[in-house]
Amino acid sequence: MAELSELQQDALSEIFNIGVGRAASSLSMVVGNQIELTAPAISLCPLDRIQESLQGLEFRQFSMVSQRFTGDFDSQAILIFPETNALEIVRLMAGAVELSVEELSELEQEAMCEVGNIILNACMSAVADLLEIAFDGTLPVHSFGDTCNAFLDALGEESKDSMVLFLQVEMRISQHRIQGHIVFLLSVTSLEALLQCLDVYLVKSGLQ
Amino acid sequence: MSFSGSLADIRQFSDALANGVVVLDAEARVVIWNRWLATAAGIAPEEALGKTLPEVFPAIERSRLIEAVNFAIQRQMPSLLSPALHGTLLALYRNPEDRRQGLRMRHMIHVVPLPGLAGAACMLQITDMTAAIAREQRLRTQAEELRLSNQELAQSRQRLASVLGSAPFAILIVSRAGVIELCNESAEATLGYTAAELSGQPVEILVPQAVRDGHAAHVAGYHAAPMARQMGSGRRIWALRKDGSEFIAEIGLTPISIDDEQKTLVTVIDITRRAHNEDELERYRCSLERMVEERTAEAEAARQLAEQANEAKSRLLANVSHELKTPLHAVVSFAHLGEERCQDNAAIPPRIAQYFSRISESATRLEELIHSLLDLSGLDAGSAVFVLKPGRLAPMVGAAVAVLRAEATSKQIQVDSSGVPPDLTAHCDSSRIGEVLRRLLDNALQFSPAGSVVSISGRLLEGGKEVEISVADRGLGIPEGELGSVFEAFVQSSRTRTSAGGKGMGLAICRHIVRGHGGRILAANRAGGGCELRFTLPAVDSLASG
Repeated sequence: MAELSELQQDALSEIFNIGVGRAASSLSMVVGNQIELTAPAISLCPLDRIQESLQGLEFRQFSMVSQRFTGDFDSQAILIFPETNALEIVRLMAGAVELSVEELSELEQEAMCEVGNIILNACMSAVADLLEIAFDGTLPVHSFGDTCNAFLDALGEESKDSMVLFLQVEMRISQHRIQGHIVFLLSVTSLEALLQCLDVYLVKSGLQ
Repeated sequence: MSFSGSLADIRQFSDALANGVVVLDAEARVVIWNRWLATAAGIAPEEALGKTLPEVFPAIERSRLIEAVNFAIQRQMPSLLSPALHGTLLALYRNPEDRRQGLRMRHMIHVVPLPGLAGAACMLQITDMTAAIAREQRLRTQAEELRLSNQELAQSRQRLASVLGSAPFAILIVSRAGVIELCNESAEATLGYTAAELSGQPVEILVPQAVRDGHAAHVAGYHAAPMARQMGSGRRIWALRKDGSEFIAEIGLTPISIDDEQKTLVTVIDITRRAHNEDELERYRCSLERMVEERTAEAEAARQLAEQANEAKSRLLANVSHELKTPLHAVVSFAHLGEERCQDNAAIPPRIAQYFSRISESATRLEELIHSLLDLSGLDAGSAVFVLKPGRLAPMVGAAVAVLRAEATSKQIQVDSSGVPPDLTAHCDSSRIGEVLRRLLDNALQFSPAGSVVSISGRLLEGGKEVEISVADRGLGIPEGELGSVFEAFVQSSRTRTSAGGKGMGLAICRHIVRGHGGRILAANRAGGGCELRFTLPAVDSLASG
């Protein structure tokens, strides 16, 4: 059904690149070190096909941070990193903070929460700013998923018909390149609302 | 996020909370500063109210907290500041001691927008993570310990399994309740069950039906005082295989503690073959004992019989000899009388005198024979008593030679006694040994051809314990087969019986006397013809005896 037009896809790419750009500057401030974040690809697909996208990855275990946003449209935003990379991200991010390795691993979940929180908040705020809408958000929740099915289970039964806005993100911290994904889970109505907002934005910008 | 209550409500209940609560207004100025935070920060609410956070806490202007606060106020987006990345951002202390030492509390901050509340824009909730971190650390340590101990357990199980597995006899581990929990490969071979079949079964399936009822009592007895021991206390035990066959088993019980549970390590060895061997050996030993007993009894009976016969013989000889002597005296006396009368009366023909002479001669020989018999029977009856004293042998030999010199001369036989060293001494009864020497010399003279030499010699045997005397002749010698029997009473060499007319008593008497001294006597043929009779006597140190 819903497919993104080329223009819509470009617009969303632009918006999310602004979002991850903001996230990168926030993270850089936290770490006191240059962090680059890019979102090179964006796609829209039904929830049951997200499995294929995720299965394409070599990783089977995921560290996930999710936040629910409500407003002009509702969305469950989820940042997904291969689990093996999560600790690495925390270590790299905490590089400037005085923490022992033991403390780091103890605080991995909270740290991942915060990282996810920063990225997701930044993305959503970029959406809100550019589309001139407002969201309320919940605090981030961290979870582990060992398979795609577990991932789906974590999302809950009622979201089976949902569509997924699927962002590939790449994080670079001091020569390390870490790949992850951002998933925006949207109900059909929410997706329509998003696309409407997007169209309004495009018209306003004189692009459509 | 919206609250139905007022700011005053929040202020009131936030003071009761065990974490920090700060509420900021749209200008990011403090409107609520709860009691917990006042204590932890060491800043009273009056000091904080109306100020921005960077004014209260120094050096946080450019921190993520301020960004998060702006985010919450401007965009209604909540933020989380994790203890990992911002754990000691605010100067908060758990207690005055930590404050003195500069040990900041590890905290987590939630920044939550408060869009629906008049006079407020966002709330900071500050949580002390020290305990949570410590708890997590403890859990991790425990998990690690658990992992290590599991690893150790697995290793020790593996070791145990390999020890059990390689043992050449069946090993079972039986629970307190008598259930088989584990067994080794040998158990499968010995008992006929697979390990899977045995596992979980009561141990009674290995006990033959006949004794199964009594088994529980034995088990109870073992548990009353569990210690390593052999089952059955020495009695033979039978065990039951899967196929129903039974075998003789040696069963060892050892209490062991596994996972803090008291269990029993049971070893089962099939000793059927060993038991059969033992039985066989036992049977053989019994029959051997019986055989030895029988033979001993037989020998004893024979010995008694022989002794009785010997005694009877000796008594008979003594009696007969005495009975014979009396009439013989009469015969001899009257024969002598007849001879004298014949000489006195010329009218009696000389042939009659000759008859008397023959009677006298024969009677004299008969008398000698009876004397010998008396001697022998006396010795046999054990009545002879030897008086052993150290004595020199040369004079005894000299005396014997002197007695028989006339006979030797008449037979033209030379007696050479130079082979007896003058100082050779022995423990002996000199009169009896004199008799032995006489008889041996007489024997030698009797069987020696005319013109020959009879040699008597003596020497101290090697070791100095015994003295040996030898009497050698040049006579006919003794056939090899008879060398051992010439000392029996009434036995004469077959060669001499016809030609030399001995009485067959002399050597028997000699043997008795020599044996009575603790010596030996034996006969041997000489290489150059003739025979040699040797006897031994206990030696005496020649110097000590003088």
